[in-house]
Amino acid sequence: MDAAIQSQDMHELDQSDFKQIVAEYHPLIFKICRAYSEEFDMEDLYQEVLINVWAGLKNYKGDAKLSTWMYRVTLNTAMTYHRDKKRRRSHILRGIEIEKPDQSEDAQEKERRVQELYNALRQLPKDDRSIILLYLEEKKYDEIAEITGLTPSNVGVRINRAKKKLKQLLSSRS
Amino acid sequence: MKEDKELFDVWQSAEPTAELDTIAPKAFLGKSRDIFRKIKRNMITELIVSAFIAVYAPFLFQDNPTSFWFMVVLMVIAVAVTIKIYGNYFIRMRDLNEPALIDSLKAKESILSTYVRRLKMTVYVLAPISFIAAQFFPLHNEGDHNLNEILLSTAVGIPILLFFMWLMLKYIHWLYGKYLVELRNLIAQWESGVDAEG
Repeated sequence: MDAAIQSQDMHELDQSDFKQIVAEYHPLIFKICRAYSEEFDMEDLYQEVLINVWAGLKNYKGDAKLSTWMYRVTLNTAMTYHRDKKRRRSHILRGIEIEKPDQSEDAQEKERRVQELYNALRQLPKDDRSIILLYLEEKKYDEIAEITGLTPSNVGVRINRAKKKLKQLLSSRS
Repeated sequence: MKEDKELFDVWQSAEPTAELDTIAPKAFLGKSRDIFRKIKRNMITELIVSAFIAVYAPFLFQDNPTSFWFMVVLMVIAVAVTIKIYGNYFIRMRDLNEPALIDSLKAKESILSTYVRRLKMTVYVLAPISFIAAQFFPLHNEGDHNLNEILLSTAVGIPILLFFMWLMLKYIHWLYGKYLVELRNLIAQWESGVDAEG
């Protein structure tokens, strides 16, 4: 995907190309947005990321891999996302209307564990959250350093620290 | 490592709970609530208003050719400086979300703090100038220099002016200042880790 995108002139990017790129990275963007927002304003954050991706892709020069670039745009947007209190109220009201479909016990247990993980992630400071998300995405230290701006050795130290905090949060919940 | 494996398993099983098609199309509308896009929109409005003022201002002095041409030159310089300053802002705002996380945070903090400082300066400079103009121009035009009137209007006007300035500064803080504090805290979080361990 990266190679195909990098050979393409991003100035000529149209909506279908954009949708194709976003479809490829949808799980990644979705997971990061979920970790950086509450359920009711996740969609707003997701939209904000897509707007920044759409605006940024036209100037994308291929200096970094597209996946690295995508992590940067998504995490930068998520970390500094500015919530609108008026909209927050309207979304709380809207959230009440959401119904969850019936699930099997296994699926419910899986969803419970996922929800627990997200709740713990949301309690981490935003910097540790970025580091641990990249770690969970199984990124190498070099790539995490490229995305965050830290040195690779510092990445290792910070991953250990963030992991420790995350495990404490998870064990205190269970 | 076993505990890490469990973490990875839970993370990998966290599939998106919403389909892309239900949330993606709005992106093309470009209705962002990003604070830097708001600042950019404000600046474009300020530029347009300033351009109108710059075109109109010399004609206030059309009776005196020397003053008229002095104002024309002054406005041309003012417009050139404004375009240069705003142009720099726009260039810096173009790729704000694309650098590494720490660099992006620092760029955002730098732009926002400069913008907030400029807004505060506008309040500190424009409010007293407007007050002085409102106080003294009518008196000057009427040619009636009644000291009691000047003292009374100043005594009433200064507290109103100070209250207005305080209100404006609070508003600026509410709009941008709080967000700026958040950004600075975030940078401090990143840097404290780097200093302590790097």
